[in-house]
Amino acid sequence: MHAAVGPATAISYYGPCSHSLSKTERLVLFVRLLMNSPAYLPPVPGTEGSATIVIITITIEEFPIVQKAFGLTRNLPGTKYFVKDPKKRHHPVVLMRALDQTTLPSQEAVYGVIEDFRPAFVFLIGTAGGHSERDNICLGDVVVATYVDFSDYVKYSRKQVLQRKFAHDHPSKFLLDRFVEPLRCVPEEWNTKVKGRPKERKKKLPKLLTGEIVSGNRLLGDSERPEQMKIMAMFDKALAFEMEAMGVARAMYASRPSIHYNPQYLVVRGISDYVDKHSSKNQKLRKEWTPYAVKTATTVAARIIERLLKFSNNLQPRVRASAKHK
Amino acid sequence: MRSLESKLGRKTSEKLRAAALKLSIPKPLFRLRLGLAKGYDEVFSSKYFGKIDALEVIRNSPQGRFLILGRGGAAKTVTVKKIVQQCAAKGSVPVLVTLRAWSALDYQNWERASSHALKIDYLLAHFTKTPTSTLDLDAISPDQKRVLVIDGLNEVTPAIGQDIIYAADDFVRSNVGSTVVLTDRLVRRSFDSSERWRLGVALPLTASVVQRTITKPRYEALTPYEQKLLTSPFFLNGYLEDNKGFHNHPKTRSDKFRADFEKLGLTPKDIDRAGQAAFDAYQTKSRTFEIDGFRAAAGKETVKRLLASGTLRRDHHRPELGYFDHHLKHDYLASRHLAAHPKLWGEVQFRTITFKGSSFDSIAMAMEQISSTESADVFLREVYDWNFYGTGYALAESGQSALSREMRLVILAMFSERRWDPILATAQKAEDTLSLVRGTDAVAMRRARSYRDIFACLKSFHTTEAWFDDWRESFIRRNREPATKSDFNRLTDKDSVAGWTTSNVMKRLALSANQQAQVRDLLRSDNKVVRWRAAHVLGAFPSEANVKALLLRLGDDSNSVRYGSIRSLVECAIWSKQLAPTVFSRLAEKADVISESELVDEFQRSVILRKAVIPPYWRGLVLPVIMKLQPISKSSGEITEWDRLLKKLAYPGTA
Repeated sequence: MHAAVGPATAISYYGPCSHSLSKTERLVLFVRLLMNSPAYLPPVPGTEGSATIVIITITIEEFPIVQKAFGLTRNLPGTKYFVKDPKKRHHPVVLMRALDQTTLPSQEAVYGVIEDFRPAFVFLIGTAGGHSERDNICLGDVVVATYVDFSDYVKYSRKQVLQRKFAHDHPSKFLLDRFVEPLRCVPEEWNTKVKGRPKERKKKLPKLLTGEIVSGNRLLGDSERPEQMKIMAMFDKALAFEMEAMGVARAMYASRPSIHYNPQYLVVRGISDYVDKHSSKNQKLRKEWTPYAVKTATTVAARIIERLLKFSNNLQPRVRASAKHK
Repeated sequence: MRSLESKLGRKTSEKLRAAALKLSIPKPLFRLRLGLAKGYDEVFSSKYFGKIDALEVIRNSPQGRFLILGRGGAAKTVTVKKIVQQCAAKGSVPVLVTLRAWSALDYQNWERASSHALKIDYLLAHFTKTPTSTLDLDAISPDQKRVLVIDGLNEVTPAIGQDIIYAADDFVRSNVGSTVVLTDRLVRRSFDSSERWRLGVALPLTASVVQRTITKPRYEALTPYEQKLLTSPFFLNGYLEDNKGFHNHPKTRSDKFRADFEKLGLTPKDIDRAGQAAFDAYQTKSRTFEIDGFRAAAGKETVKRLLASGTLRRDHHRPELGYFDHHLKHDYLASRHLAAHPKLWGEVQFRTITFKGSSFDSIAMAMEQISSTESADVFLREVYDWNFYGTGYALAESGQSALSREMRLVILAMFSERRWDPILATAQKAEDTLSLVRGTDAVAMRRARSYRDIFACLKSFHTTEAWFDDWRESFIRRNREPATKSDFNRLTDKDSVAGWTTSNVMKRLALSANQQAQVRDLLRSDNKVVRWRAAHVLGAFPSEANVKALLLRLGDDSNSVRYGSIRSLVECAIWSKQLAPTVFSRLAEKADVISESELVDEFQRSVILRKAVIPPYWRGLVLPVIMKLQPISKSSGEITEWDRLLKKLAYPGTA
């Protein structure tokens, strides 16, 4: 069942990457959209419906915490997706768990959600390893990526390690500027709300940091391994290290060739361990801090999403009335 | 901005829909039915979960991707034209890409298209009646479904056909409101998102449809072969056009085509000349050719008759070029020339007329036209020498031929054996090819569950042919039976069937340390085929000495030896847990050699194993080699191929 949309013309979200408009035209159009836009509507629903936001989690520990926080407990029959109301065709938020860790499954997951829901935004929520000597990062803090890099794409020659690159998107400047930065500056908006703080953390509230996140297909759990040390040295400014963001980044890049569709993404990671600590200690830390780190990341993401949905005025689902030949 | 978009989009939409509505569809239109298959295993075993009218393809593509599969003459082209018209009538925006006009120049241009979008743009610009682009299509309102139909993946090489599938997949994913429909032969392909593709196999027309079309009395007057021939829409149409008659009761497709050309007033000599012209035309690696050149070889009068009858047509954009109204007619003529000239039976010509192994109709029809058993057997041996799978397709696609039953059994037995190869691509291809071959002997070989079953089939066959007895004796060997001097003699035999049979058989035998050393010596033979066979044998005997010898062969002059060596190295790693780390660490060290010697494809193919044989340590050892090779990729396309490999390693059994 589709509700009518009026005025009955498509609202396409022209993000920063629309090629045909000048900067001024884009700005004017964007402001007009902000002022007048009834809601974000994907130009055409995906194969399973439409969504404003899709959240992707990775590990078994992360999923139930995120699921509970967002109330996305109903499975869309025959799919891996969880929503609030499976009977609706448009969902403000959809949740899924990628099949596995590392960049390839996360890349596949994003390809899937893009086709299935054509979401405006994709959020990757989970945990990561932080570097204890950078930006005073602590366990339980949240790192939101401003920049994503990849540690596994290197060429080893005799004397040096040469980094190689492939094309990928970086996280959404729109989300970073308008939703993440305010939370970073006013942490009380979110960090007093996180329950289940471990004893060591009782006196210290988690903080939100923004910076570089490095992805790789290996778990960096042993600071004394030569390969890991090389990576730490190569990415000397990175705040956090994890295994999926680059998959998301590559898939998002590949998913935006159409002028009608410009999805964006954000990576939100709670710090569960330190990549610059010894493996035996790190393993224990990770086990102990993962639930809390997921909670802090989820709380930050939830605040962002709540505000984002309010902003897009999309509390009630609406879908285009005239999708032909479906 | 919105008004500019609408204007461009509307213009594009109108232009494309108008072109689609103008397409001429031949009558009568037989309603093709498709068997829906979950995957290629089901395609080749004819296990369909449903059957639909081919015109319902769009409705049956919930994820926007549909591949219509079928043999030549199954009316795929006519059907997709009808689908295109139907889409236009319903308000969608269809684009029909016809690959028949693919030429030698296109191969070069294709290499330059570095992304999926550029590849699609190339097709849209050069292979449609109304050139367009992905940008133009994107300007169309997302309300309107865009339907991209690509007809004829068999008209291009397998590698390009695969490229097109990947590009089409990306097109649907990236372009809102899009659907792709492709047509292909019965050949296994890979997909980036296999779960989103629907496969539909063109089903033969039923006997009742044929009867109804030509009337019962006429149907009953036909021979069983003719009745079977008419289950192909192409031949049923031909029968109707022939004023409902078969001339000379054809026993094969070649017979039928010969009769058709004779009806145009061509003498056997005229057809021979046309055959040479058609064969030469394939040297351009395209089904489209210069009419003047064709005329010079075939004769003015012949070309006049062919043009007048519509058998030969001028290209719409470039009238100096021409093509046959159906590629099977071109294939027939080329095959006639091939069959009559044994000196042409070899790798170079086979590759040319099959478009590098994409379309085997010409090979099959050539075999039909070779009248002596001895020559037919020689022909098939030559095909075997070039492309083992070509023999299978030749058996599958040909009607009656003079091929000896013995030769046929040899090929079937070797296919049957190959289904148990540890490398998935090899095993699958053998299974697929075997499933296409008709006949009780092929069925028996397909049903064989062990060597014992294959041996039983072979032993039950009675023959007076000494060569077959020798071959059978060399093939039927107990597992781990000691190798003999005769085996070594056959391994170096000039006869490719004998040599390759022995190369495969020796892998099942027990070779002493001395004998393995002998095989290693053969790696230094002057004859590249012998080196290749020797490398193949060593894959079954993992040892440090053999691994070392195979590693040296990665630098061999011959492609085949290099491919065989890397494959055997991977095999050594499968069979020896102890040696596997050494094999892969050595391969990682040789990343530059692998990359520069064009061994990447073979390595990628070799490390994907049949699920039943994957050792538990496999992924952990293969990944570091991939991590060394991926960063030295020469293009983004190569990087993507590594990603695909990683996915196959992570999820065994996915396409």
